[in-house]
Formats: sequence, C-alpha cells, structure tokens
Amino acid sequence: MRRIIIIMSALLSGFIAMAQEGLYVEDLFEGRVIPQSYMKRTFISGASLKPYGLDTYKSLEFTVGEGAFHKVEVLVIRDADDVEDKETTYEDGHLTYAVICLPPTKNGKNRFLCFQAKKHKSLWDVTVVYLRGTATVGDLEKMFNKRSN
Amino acid sequence: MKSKNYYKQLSRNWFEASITPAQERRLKQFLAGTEDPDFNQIKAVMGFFECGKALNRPFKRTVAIRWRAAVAAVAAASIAIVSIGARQAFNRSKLASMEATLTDIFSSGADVETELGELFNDEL
Repeated sequence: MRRIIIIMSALLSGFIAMAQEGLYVEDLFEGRVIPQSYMKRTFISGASLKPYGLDTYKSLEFTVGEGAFHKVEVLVIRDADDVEDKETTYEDGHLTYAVICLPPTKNGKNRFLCFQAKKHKSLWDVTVVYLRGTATVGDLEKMFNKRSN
Repeated sequence: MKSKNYYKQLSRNWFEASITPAQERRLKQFLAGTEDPDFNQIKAVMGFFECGKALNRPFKRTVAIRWRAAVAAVAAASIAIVSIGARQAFNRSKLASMEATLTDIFSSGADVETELGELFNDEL
C-alpha cells in the first residue's frame, strides 16, 4: 500500500511538473478560471509535432465577458512580468496580444506563451497558446508568419 | 429399398475390407436406421472403429472454424485500418487547427523588421 502511494505521488508530481511548469496561466489550462466546457481545448504532443520543432502544443479558445477576460488578462500579464523577451500590445488599457518567451526548461527546451484577444461587441474572443520545444521564436515566425513569406 | 440380404452381403464385404466408399456410406445409412439384431455385431465393430478413428484423428480445424477465423481476422484488420485512418484524420485536423491558430498569432504581431525600417526612414 505504501509503495502504491509513493508511486502515485511520483506520477502526480510528474504530471504537475509536465503541465505549464509553474505559470499563472496553469489555472486557466486546468479549468480553474473558466469552466472547461466553455473552452475549445486542443492539446497535441508527440511525434506529429516534430516537423515544427515542438513537443507540446496546448491551446484554449473561448469567448467571455469583461469580468472573466480581466481574470485571464491578469494571469498572462503576471507570467509576462519577469520576462524580458516578449512582444505585447495593449489597446484601450487591455492586453490584446502577447508572445512571451518563457525561461527554458531544465533540459533546455524553449517555452512560449501566446495570447490574443479580440473584442467583439461586449465580448472577448480569446486564444491562449502554450508551446514547448526546440524551436526558437524566429523559427516559429518563419513557419507561421505569412506576411514575411 | 434394398433387401436385408443385400446389407448382410455389404456387412460381410465390410469385414473383408472389400467394400467401396459408396457402399460403406450406404451401409452406414442403413445401420443408423435399423433395429434388426442381426446387424448388432457390425454396428458394434463399426461403432468401435469410428470411435477409435475420432480419438486418433489429428486435430484439424474444420472449414467452419477456418472461415470464422478468417472473418474475424478481416474484421479485426478492418477495425484497425478504420481506427488508424480516423486517428490520422483526427491528428491532421488538430494539426490544421494548430497551424491556423499559430499563423493567426504570428501574423498578427508587429513585424519587427518593417517597424525598424520605418523608424530608420523617419529618422532620415
């Protein structure tokens, strides 16, 4: 029984460590800020991401009112606070765009947090993406910035 | 309908192993339906041999079992192919969704090179 508890704790701690690795937005991905049923969640990991230089892709898309949007915005701003390498855009005092290069993981993997919010009447269409892999922000720009191609 | 003597003759021939397979089949059909005690001996001996043959017959899959196995294999393969196909389609759809989202994000941000170029031209 004791062995089972130890194994379960090790697995649990592993899962926690594998999540968004100590970010404020972890609460959002875990459904503690906005119920999961309100969000379109896309989680991809493994070999299919190899061509993109990534090993984890997690995205959330949802439409919320002002109050919920503010909660989400605060989490992203907190995660961006201590990071130097980031690109953010504010409109009317609200964070509407962010690409944040988070500190790499212990095994040298790059991590990015992307945020995009578009106001539609009184609601906000929000996209939050967490990326992890060997790709740099330059690689991602080359792959996905269609303006520069 | 053959006479009793005919089958008695067949029985004797059977004991002498001089009977054709068709005659043996006919004799067996007759023995299966008769209660005549004159045929008890051949019934017992033939039954003994049939039982012995069945016990010593090497295990052979019957055609029905082979068919069932073949159908099961084809069904399993079809399910595997369909599920792999569905999974690949699902993965493709997820990757397409990812590409669309990342393209939207990375194409929306400020174009650093353009901004720097504009700044440089303004200063000139």
